[in-house]
Amino acid sequence: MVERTPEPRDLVAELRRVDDAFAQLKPSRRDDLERLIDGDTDELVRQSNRALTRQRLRTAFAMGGSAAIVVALLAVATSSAPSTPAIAVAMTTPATATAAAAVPVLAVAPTTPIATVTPTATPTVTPIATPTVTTSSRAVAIARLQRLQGLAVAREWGTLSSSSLESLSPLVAIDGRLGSTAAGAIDGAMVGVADAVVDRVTDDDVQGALLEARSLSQRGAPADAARVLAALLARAPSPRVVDVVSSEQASLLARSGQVDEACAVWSAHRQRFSSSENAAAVVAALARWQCP
Amino acid sequence: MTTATQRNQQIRALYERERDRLFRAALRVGGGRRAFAEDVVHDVFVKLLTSYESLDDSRDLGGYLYRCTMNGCVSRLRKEAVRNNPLVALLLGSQMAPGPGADARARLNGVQREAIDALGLLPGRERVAFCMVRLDDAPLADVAQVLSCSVPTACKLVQRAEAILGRAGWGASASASVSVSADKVVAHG
Repeated sequence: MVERTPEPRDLVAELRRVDDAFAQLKPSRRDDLERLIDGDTDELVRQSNRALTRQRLRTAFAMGGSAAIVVALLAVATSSAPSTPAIAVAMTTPATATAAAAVPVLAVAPTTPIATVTPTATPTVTPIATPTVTTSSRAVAIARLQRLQGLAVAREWGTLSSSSLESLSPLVAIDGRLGSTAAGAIDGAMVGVADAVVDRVTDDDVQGALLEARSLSQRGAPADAARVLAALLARAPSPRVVDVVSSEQASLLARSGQVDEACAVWSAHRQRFSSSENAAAVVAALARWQCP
Repeated sequence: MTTATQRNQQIRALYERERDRLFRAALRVGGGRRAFAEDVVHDVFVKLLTSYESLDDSRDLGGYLYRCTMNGCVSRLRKEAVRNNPLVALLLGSQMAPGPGADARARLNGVQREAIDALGLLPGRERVAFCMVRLDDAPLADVAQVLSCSVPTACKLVQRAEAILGRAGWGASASASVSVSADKVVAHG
Protein backbone atom coordinates (compact mmCIF):
# COMPACT_ATOMS: atom_id res chain seq x y z
CA MET A 1 0.00 0.00 0.00
CA VAL A 2 1.39 3.37 -1.01
CA GLU A 3 1.23 6.13 1.53
CA ARG A 4 -0.07 9.35 0.13
CA THR A 5 1.75 12.51 1.02
CA PRO A 6 -0.76 14.98 2.39
CA GLU A 7 -1.47 17.94 0.17
CA PRO A 8 0.29 21.03 1.46
CA ARG A 9 -2.08 23.61 2.80
CA ASP A 10 -2.38 26.82 0.89
CA LEU A 11 -0.63 29.43 2.98
CA VAL A 12 -1.42 32.31 0.67
CA ALA A 13 -5.12 31.58 0.83
CA GLU A 14 -5.03 31.37 4.61
CA LEU A 15 -3.03 34.55 4.94
CA ARG A 16 -5.53 36.34 2.75
CA ARG A 17 -8.19 35.22 5.18
CA VAL A 18 -6.01 36.54 7.97
CA ASP A 19 -5.92 39.87 6.14
CA ASP A 20 -9.71 39.82 6.00
CA ALA A 21 -9.84 39.02 9.71
CA PHE A 22 -7.52 41.95 10.43
CA ALA A 23 -9.54 44.31 8.26
CA GLN A 24 -11.32 45.82 11.25
CA LEU A 25 -8.12 46.52 13.15
CA LYS A 26 -7.06 50.12 12.97
CA PRO A 27 -3.92 51.82 14.12
CA SER A 28 -4.58 53.51 17.43
CA ARG A 29 -2.08 56.33 17.23
CA ARG A 30 -4.09 58.43 14.88
CA ASP A 31 -4.20 61.46 17.09
CA ASP A 32 -0.47 61.94 17.10
CA LEU A 33 -0.17 61.57 13.38
CA GLU A 34 -3.14 63.74 12.63
CA ARG A 35 -1.67 66.52 14.70
CA LEU A 36 1.51 66.15 12.74
CA ILE A 37 -0.27 66.27 9.46
CA ASP A 38 -2.16 69.35 10.47
CA GLY A 39 1.15 71.09 10.66
CA ASP A 40 1.88 71.01 14.36
CA THR A 41 5.57 71.59 14.05
CA ASP A 42 6.10 71.31 17.78
CA GLU A 43 4.59 67.87 17.59
CA LEU A 44 6.91 66.99 14.75
CA VAL A 45 9.92 68.01 16.77
CA ARG A 46 8.56 66.04 19.68
CA GLN A 47 8.08 62.97 17.54
CA SER A 48 11.57 63.21 16.18
CA ASN A 49 12.89 63.61 19.70
CA ARG A 50 10.94 60.59 20.79
CA ALA A 51 12.46 58.44 18.13
CA LEU A 52 15.85 59.59 19.30
CA THR A 53 14.94 59.12 22.93
CA ARG A 54 13.66 55.66 22.26
CA GLN A 55 16.98 54.80 20.73
CA ARG A 56 18.90 56.37 23.59
CA LEU A 57 16.85 54.53 26.12
CA ARG A 58 17.47 51.22 24.46
CA THR A 59 21.15 51.96 24.38
CA ALA A 60 21.06 52.94 28.02
CA PHE A 61 19.43 49.70 28.96
CA ALA A 62 21.94 47.75 26.98
CA MET A 63 24.78 49.60 28.66
CA GLY A 64 23.22 49.08 32.03
CA GLY A 65 23.45 45.36 31.58
CA SER A 66 19.80 44.61 31.69
CA ALA A 67 17.37 45.32 28.96
CA ALA A 68 14.68 43.79 31.06
CA ILE A 69 14.66 46.72 33.38
CA VAL A 70 12.29 49.42 32.66
CA VAL A 71 11.81 51.77 35.44
CA ALA A 72 10.87 55.30 35.47
CA LEU A 73 9.85 57.50 38.25
CA LEU A 74 8.18 60.79 37.87
CA ALA A 75 7.76 61.76 41.46
CA VAL A 76 9.11 60.07 44.49
CA ALA A 77 7.19 60.17 47.70
CA THR A 78 7.38 63.51 49.35
CA SER A 79 9.06 63.81 52.71
CA SER A 80 5.78 64.82 54.29
CA ALA A 81 4.29 61.49 53.41
CA PRO A 82 6.95 58.98 54.32
CA SER A 83 4.60 56.05 54.34
CA THR A 84 3.58 56.69 50.81
CA PRO A 85 5.16 54.19 48.54
CA ALA A 86 6.98 55.54 45.61
CA ILE A 87 6.32 53.55 42.60
CA ALA A 88 9.57 52.02 41.78
CA VAL A 89 7.99 49.87 39.28
CA ALA A 90 9.31 46.96 37.59
CA MET A 91 11.37 44.68 37.06
CA THR A 92 12.97 41.57 35.98
CA THR A 93 16.59 41.92 36.67
CA PRO A 94 18.95 39.20 35.61
CA ALA A 95 20.93 37.73 38.42
CA THR A 96 24.04 38.66 36.52
CA ALA A 97 23.24 42.34 36.53
CA THR A 98 25.82 44.34 38.32
CA ALA A 99 25.92 47.82 39.62
CA ALA A 100 26.87 49.18 36.30
CA ALA A 101 26.21 52.60 34.99
CA ALA A 102 22.96 53.98 36.21
CA VAL A 103 20.26 54.15 33.66
CA PRO A 104 18.88 57.59 33.08
CA VAL A 105 15.16 57.79 33.28
CA LEU A 106 13.78 60.09 30.70
CA ALA A 107 10.86 62.07 31.66
CA VAL A 108 8.84 65.17 31.33
CA ALA A 109 10.71 66.61 28.44
CA PRO A 110 11.86 63.87 26.16
CA THR A 111 15.51 64.51 26.78
CA THR A 112 15.44 65.53 30.40
CA PRO A 113 16.47 62.80 32.77
CA ILE A 114 14.75 63.11 36.12
CA ALA A 115 16.15 60.10 37.84
CA THR A 116 18.58 57.31 37.41
CA VAL A 117 18.13 53.66 38.04
CA THR A 118 20.97 51.46 39.08
CA PRO A 119 20.36 48.11 37.49
CA THR A 120 21.09 45.82 40.36
CA ALA A 121 18.92 43.06 41.68
CA THR A 122 17.29 45.69 43.84
CA PRO A 123 17.30 48.67 41.59
CA THR A 124 17.80 51.99 43.19
CA VAL A 125 15.98 54.97 41.90
CA THR A 126 17.74 58.25 42.45
CA PRO A 127 15.98 61.43 41.49
CA ILE A 128 18.30 63.85 39.78
CA ALA A 129 16.40 66.97 40.52
CA THR A 130 12.98 68.38 40.29
CA PRO A 131 12.19 68.22 36.66
CA THR A 132 12.09 71.45 34.82
CA VAL A 133 8.53 72.24 34.14
CA THR A 134 8.10 74.14 30.97
CA THR A 135 4.40 74.44 30.60
CA SER A 136 1.67 75.28 33.01
CA SER A 137 -0.46 72.31 32.03
CA ARG A 138 2.43 70.05 32.75
CA ALA A 139 2.97 71.70 36.10
CA VAL A 140 -0.65 71.27 37.00
CA ALA A 141 -0.59 67.69 35.89
CA ILE A 142 2.49 66.94 37.89
CA ALA A 143 1.11 68.62 40.96
CA ARG A 144 -2.02 66.56 40.68
CA LEU A 145 -0.08 63.43 40.14
CA GLN A 146 2.03 64.12 43.18
CA ARG A 147 -1.08 64.46 45.24
CA LEU A 148 -1.99 60.98 44.16
CA GLN A 149 0.11 59.41 46.84
CA GLY A 150 3.18 60.91 45.37
CA LEU A 151 2.95 58.52 42.56
CA ALA A 152 3.08 59.47 39.05
CA VAL A 153 3.47 57.08 36.34
CA ALA A 154 2.22 57.66 32.95
CA ARG A 155 3.39 56.98 29.62
CA GLU A 156 4.91 59.32 27.20
CA TRP A 157 3.22 58.17 24.15
CA GLY A 158 5.93 57.44 21.72
CA THR A 159 8.96 57.93 23.91
CA LEU A 160 8.77 54.26 24.45
CA SER A 161 7.06 52.46 21.67
CA SER A 162 4.40 49.89 22.23
CA SER A 163 6.83 47.20 21.31
CA SER A 164 9.21 48.49 23.93
CA LEU A 165 6.36 48.28 26.34
CA GLU A 166 5.77 44.70 25.45
CA SER A 167 9.36 43.70 25.48
CA LEU A 168 10.63 45.81 28.29
CA SER A 169 7.60 46.16 30.44
CA PRO A 170 6.73 47.02 33.08
CA LEU A 171 6.87 50.46 31.82
CA VAL A 172 6.78 53.72 33.48
CA ALA A 173 7.16 56.86 31.58
CA ILE A 174 5.83 60.26 31.60
CA ASP A 175 3.38 61.88 29.38
CA GLY A 176 4.87 65.24 28.67
CA ARG A 177 1.60 66.38 27.30
CA LEU A 178 -0.56 65.71 30.28
CA GLY A 179 -3.26 68.25 30.17
CA SER A 180 -5.42 68.97 27.22
CA THR A 181 -4.21 66.05 25.21
CA ALA A 182 -3.75 63.63 28.03
CA ALA A 183 -6.87 61.65 27.44
CA GLY A 184 -5.87 60.29 24.08
CA ALA A 185 -2.35 59.55 25.14
CA ILE A 186 -3.41 57.77 28.27
CA ASP A 187 -6.10 55.84 26.49
CA GLY A 188 -3.43 54.72 24.10
CA ALA A 189 -1.22 53.74 26.98
CA MET A 190 -3.99 51.77 28.58
CA VAL A 191 -4.79 49.91 25.44
CA GLY A 192 -1.12 49.14 25.06
CA VAL A 193 -0.79 47.93 28.58
CA ALA A 194 -3.94 45.91 28.38
CA ASP A 195 -2.64 44.20 25.28
CA ALA A 196 0.58 43.34 27.02
CA VAL A 197 -1.31 42.08 30.03
CA VAL A 198 -3.78 40.02 28.10
CA ASP A 199 -1.01 38.52 26.07
CA ARG A 200 0.65 37.20 29.18
CA VAL A 201 -2.40 35.39 30.41
CA THR A 202 -2.74 31.90 29.13
CA ASP A 203 -5.94 30.91 30.85
CA ASP A 204 -8.72 31.24 28.26
CA ASP A 205 -11.39 32.15 30.80
CA VAL A 206 -9.28 34.90 32.26
CA GLN A 207 -8.32 36.18 28.88
CA GLY A 208 -11.94 36.12 27.81
CA ALA A 209 -12.94 38.16 30.84
CA LEU A 210 -10.18 40.66 30.21
CA LEU A 211 -11.18 41.04 26.61
CA GLU A 212 -14.82 41.41 27.54
CA ALA A 213 -13.92 44.00 30.14
CA ARG A 214 -11.87 45.93 27.69
CA SER A 215 -14.59 45.76 25.11
CA LEU A 216 -17.09 47.12 27.62
CA SER A 217 -14.63 49.80 28.59
CA GLN A 218 -14.09 50.82 25.00
CA ARG A 219 -17.85 51.01 24.52
CA GLY A 220 -18.02 53.51 27.32
CA ALA A 221 -19.05 51.23 30.13
CA PRO A 222 -16.02 51.00 32.42
CA ALA A 223 -18.20 50.33 35.45
CA ASP A 224 -19.64 47.24 33.77
CA ALA A 225 -16.16 46.25 32.78
CA ALA A 226 -15.01 46.55 36.37
CA ARG A 227 -17.88 44.30 37.42
CA VAL A 228 -16.79 41.64 34.96
CA LEU A 229 -13.37 41.67 36.53
CA ALA A 230 -14.79 41.67 40.03
CA ALA A 231 -16.72 38.53 39.15
CA LEU A 232 -13.55 36.97 37.87
CA LEU A 233 -11.69 37.84 41.05
CA ALA A 234 -14.48 36.32 43.08
CA ARG A 235 -13.61 32.98 41.56
CA ALA A 236 -10.35 33.02 43.47
CA PRO A 237 -7.95 32.73 40.59
CA SER A 238 -4.25 32.26 40.93
CA PRO A 239 -2.11 35.03 42.45
CA ARG A 240 -0.77 35.85 39.03
CA VAL A 241 -4.26 36.40 37.73
CA VAL A 242 -5.11 38.48 40.75
CA ASP A 243 -2.14 40.66 39.92
CA VAL A 244 -3.38 41.28 36.46
CA VAL A 245 -7.07 41.47 37.03
CA SER A 246 -7.12 43.57 40.16
CA SER A 247 -5.00 46.26 38.61
CA GLU A 248 -7.20 46.28 35.54
CA GLN A 249 -10.18 46.52 37.82
CA ALA A 250 -8.70 49.48 39.61
CA SER A 251 -8.01 51.29 36.39
CA LEU A 252 -11.54 50.68 35.16
CA LEU A 253 -13.01 51.90 38.41
CA ALA A 254 -10.91 55.01 38.14
CA ARG A 255 -12.04 55.60 34.62
CA SER A 256 -15.67 55.26 35.60
CA GLY A 257 -15.19 57.92 38.24
CA GLN A 258 -15.25 55.53 41.19
CA VAL A 259 -11.97 56.77 42.45
CA ASP A 260 -12.50 55.79 46.06
CA GLU A 261 -13.18 52.23 45.01
CA ALA A 262 -10.21 52.33 42.69
CA CYS A 263 -7.99 53.53 45.49
CA ALA A 264 -9.35 50.79 47.73
CA VAL A 265 -8.40 48.18 45.19
CA TRP A 266 -5.12 49.94 44.75
CA SER A 267 -4.44 49.90 48.48
CA ALA A 268 -5.40 46.25 48.81
CA HIS A 269 -3.08 45.22 46.06
CA ARG A 270 -0.47 47.90 46.18
CA GLN A 271 2.31 45.51 46.89
CA ARG A 272 1.28 43.38 44.00
CA PHE A 273 1.04 46.38 41.76
CA SER A 274 4.51 47.43 42.60
CA SER A 275 5.66 44.42 40.67
CA SER A 276 2.97 44.50 38.11
CA GLU A 277 3.37 45.77 34.63
CA ASN A 278 -0.09 47.15 34.85
CA ALA A 279 0.77 49.68 37.48
CA ALA A 280 1.30 52.22 34.77
CA ALA A 281 -2.23 51.77 33.54
CA VAL A 282 -3.72 52.17 36.97
CA VAL A 283 -1.91 55.34 37.72
CA ALA A 284 -2.52 56.63 34.26
CA ALA A 285 -6.20 56.07 34.80
CA LEU A 286 -6.09 57.86 38.09
CA ALA A 287 -4.16 60.63 36.49
CA ARG A 288 -6.69 60.92 33.78
CA TRP A 289 -9.44 61.26 36.27
CA GLN A 290 -7.49 63.94 38.00
CA CYS A 291 -6.54 65.73 34.82
CA PRO A 292 -9.63 65.79 32.64
CA MET B 1 3.84 76.54 -5.85
CA THR B 2 2.35 74.38 -3.13
CA THR B 3 1.27 76.28 -0.05
CA ALA B 4 1.56 74.85 3.42
CA THR B 5 -2.19 74.30 3.50
CA GLN B 6 -2.14 72.43 0.22
CA ARG B 7 0.76 70.38 1.41
CA ASN B 8 -1.06 69.42 4.57
CA GLN B 9 -4.18 68.57 2.61
CA GLN B 10 -2.20 66.38 0.29
CA ILE B 11 -0.52 64.58 3.14
CA ARG B 12 -3.75 64.17 5.02
CA ALA B 13 -5.42 62.68 1.94
CA LEU B 14 -2.52 60.31 1.57
CA TYR B 15 -2.69 59.41 5.22
CA GLU B 16 -6.43 58.78 5.11
CA ARG B 17 -6.06 56.65 2.03
CA GLU B 18 -3.07 54.59 3.00
CA ARG B 19 -2.86 54.25 6.77
CA ASP B 20 -5.10 51.19 7.21
CA ARG B 21 -3.62 49.35 4.27
CA LEU B 22 -0.08 49.95 5.50
CA PHE B 23 -1.02 49.05 9.05
CA ARG B 24 -2.47 45.73 7.95
CA ALA B 25 0.51 44.97 5.71
CA ALA B 26 2.84 45.56 8.65
CA LEU B 27 0.54 43.68 11.00
CA ARG B 28 0.75 40.62 8.81
CA VAL B 29 4.53 40.76 8.49
CA GLY B 30 4.80 41.31 12.23
CA GLY B 31 2.79 38.19 12.95
CA GLY B 32 -0.29 40.03 14.16
CA ARG B 33 1.54 42.24 16.62
CA ARG B 34 -0.27 45.52 16.81
CA ALA B 35 2.62 47.29 18.47
CA PHE B 36 5.01 46.22 15.74
CA ALA B 37 2.69 47.45 13.02
CA GLU B 38 1.89 50.71 14.75
CA ASP B 39 5.54 51.52 15.29
CA VAL B 40 6.38 50.84 11.68
CA VAL B 41 3.51 52.84 10.22
CA HIS B 42 4.04 55.67 12.65
CA ASP B 43 7.65 55.96 11.62
CA VAL B 44 6.72 55.81 7.96
CA PHE B 45 4.41 58.79 8.24
CA VAL B 46 6.85 60.74 10.35
CA LYS B 47 9.41 60.12 7.64
CA LEU B 48 6.93 61.23 5.01
CA LEU B 49 6.34 64.47 6.86
CA THR B 50 9.99 65.23 7.18
CA SER B 51 10.82 64.43 3.59
CA TYR B 52 7.65 65.36 1.75
CA GLU B 53 9.14 68.35 -0.02
CA SER B 54 11.88 66.25 -1.51
CA LEU B 55 9.48 63.73 -2.98
CA ASP B 56 8.35 63.94 -6.54
CA ASP B 57 4.60 64.72 -6.70
CA SER B 58 4.21 62.66 -9.82
CA ARG B 59 5.42 59.51 -8.10
CA ASP B 60 3.07 56.90 -6.77
CA LEU B 61 3.41 57.89 -3.15
CA GLY B 62 1.17 55.01 -2.09
CA GLY B 63 3.71 52.64 -3.52
CA TYR B 64 6.52 54.61 -1.94
CA LEU B 65 4.86 54.40 1.47
CA TYR B 66 4.27 50.70 1.04
CA ARG B 67 7.93 50.15 0.29
CA CYS B 68 8.91 52.29 3.27
CA THR B 69 6.63 50.18 5.42
CA MET B 70 8.17 46.95 4.23
CA ASN B 71 11.59 48.44 4.75
CA GLY B 72 10.62 49.37 8.30
CA CYS B 73 9.41 45.84 8.87
CA VAL B 74 12.71 44.38 7.71
CA SER B 75 14.65 46.70 10.00
CA ARG B 76 12.57 45.76 13.00
CA LEU B 77 12.70 42.07 12.27
CA ARG B 78 16.45 42.32 11.92
CA LYS B 79 16.76 44.00 15.30
CA GLU B 80 14.53 41.41 16.87
CA ALA B 81 16.63 38.66 15.39
CA VAL B 82 19.71 40.18 16.96
CA ARG B 83 17.97 40.47 20.30
CA ASN B 84 16.81 36.87 20.09
CA ASN B 85 20.28 35.59 19.39
CA PRO B 86 21.12 33.32 22.34
CA LEU B 87 24.36 35.12 23.07
CA VAL B 88 22.74 38.52 23.06
CA ALA B 89 19.82 37.21 25.09
CA LEU B 90 22.28 35.89 27.63
CA LEU B 91 23.79 39.33 28.02
CA LEU B 92 20.69 41.45 27.79
CA GLY B 93 17.97 39.17 29.05
CA SER B 94 15.47 37.26 27.02
CA GLN B 95 12.74 38.89 25.00
CA MET B 96 9.13 38.00 25.16
CA ALA B 97 8.24 35.52 22.44
CA PRO B 98 6.50 37.48 19.71
CA GLY B 99 2.98 36.50 18.89
CA PRO B 100 -0.24 38.05 17.75
CA GLY B 101 -1.74 40.63 20.07
CA ALA B 102 -4.87 39.74 21.95
CA ASP B 103 -7.26 41.60 19.71
CA ALA B 104 -5.63 40.22 16.58
CA ARG B 105 -5.57 36.69 17.95
CA ALA B 106 -9.21 36.87 18.91
CA ARG B 107 -10.08 37.38 15.25
CA LEU B 108 -8.28 34.31 13.97
CA ASN B 109 -9.38 30.70 13.86
CA GLY B 110 -7.02 27.82 14.47
CA VAL B 111 -5.82 27.42 10.90
CA GLN B 112 -5.26 31.12 10.53
CA ARG B 113 -3.19 31.19 13.70
CA GLU B 114 -1.13 28.34 12.29
CA ALA B 115 -0.71 30.29 9.07
CA ILE B 116 0.55 33.39 10.84
CA ASP B 117 2.82 31.20 12.96
CA ALA B 118 4.18 29.62 9.79
CA LEU B 119 5.05 33.05 8.47
CA GLY B 120 6.97 33.57 11.67
CA LEU B 121 9.24 30.69 10.73
CA LEU B 122 10.76 32.82 8.03
CA PRO B 123 13.74 35.07 8.61
CA GLY B 124 12.94 38.76 8.15
CA ARG B 125 14.14 39.24 4.59
CA GLU B 126 12.49 36.08 3.37
CA ARG B 127 9.30 36.96 5.18
CA VAL B 128 9.06 40.40 3.67
CA ALA B 129 9.96 39.14 0.21
CA PHE B 130 7.35 36.41 0.44
CA CYS B 131 4.62 38.76 1.64
CA MET B 132 5.40 41.36 -0.96
CA VAL B 133 5.43 38.94 -3.85
CA ARG B 134 2.84 36.40 -2.90
CA LEU B 135 0.33 38.44 -0.98
CA ASP B 136 0.70 41.93 -2.33
CA ASP B 137 1.69 41.04 -5.88
CA ALA B 138 4.65 43.39 -5.78
CA PRO B 139 7.24 43.15 -8.55
CA LEU B 140 10.56 41.63 -7.65
CA ALA B 141 12.21 44.93 -8.51
CA ASP B 142 10.36 46.49 -5.60
CA VAL B 143 11.44 43.68 -3.32
CA ALA B 144 15.00 44.21 -4.43
CA GLN B 145 14.71 47.91 -3.74
CA VAL B 146 13.28 47.37 -0.27
CA LEU B 147 15.85 44.78 0.64
CA SER B 148 18.74 46.55 -1.08
CA CYS B 149 19.61 43.52 -3.12
CA SER B 150 19.56 42.44 -6.73
CA VAL B 151 16.46 41.12 -8.43
CA PRO B 152 17.87 37.57 -8.66
CA THR B 153 18.60 37.68 -4.95
CA ALA B 154 15.05 38.85 -4.26
CA CYS B 155 13.81 35.95 -6.30
CA LYS B 156 15.96 33.55 -4.35
CA LEU B 157 14.64 34.91 -1.09
CA VAL B 158 11.10 34.17 -2.18
CA GLN B 159 12.09 30.69 -3.27
CA ARG B 160 13.91 30.09 -0.01
CA ALA B 161 10.85 31.21 1.90
CA GLU B 162 8.71 28.81 -0.04
CA ALA B 163 11.12 25.99 0.64
CA ILE B 164 10.98 26.66 4.38
CA LEU B 165 7.22 26.82 4.30
CA GLY B 166 7.05 23.70 2.20
CA ARG B 167 9.00 21.78 4.82
CA ALA B 168 6.46 23.00 7.37
CA GLY B 169 3.64 21.56 5.30
CA TRP B 170 2.49 24.72 3.62
CA GLY B 171 2.18 25.33 -0.09
CA ALA B 172 3.09 28.80 -1.18
CA SER B 173 0.29 29.33 -3.62
CA ALA B 174 -2.01 27.66 -6.03
CA SER B 175 0.40 26.19 -8.54
CA ALA B 176 2.61 29.20 -9.09
CA SER B 177 6.33 29.53 -8.85
CA VAL B 178 8.48 32.61 -9.08
CA SER B 179 11.21 33.38 -11.52
CA VAL B 180 13.30 36.39 -12.16
CA SER B 181 11.92 39.37 -13.95
CA ALA B 182 12.95 42.87 -13.19
CA ASP B 183 9.56 44.45 -13.46
CA LYS B 184 7.10 41.76 -12.50
CA VAL B 185 6.67 38.39 -10.93
CA VAL B 186 6.51 35.64 -13.46
CA ALA B 187 4.23 32.91 -12.27
CA HIS B 188 4.55 29.49 -13.79
CA GLY B 189 1.52 27.29 -13.48
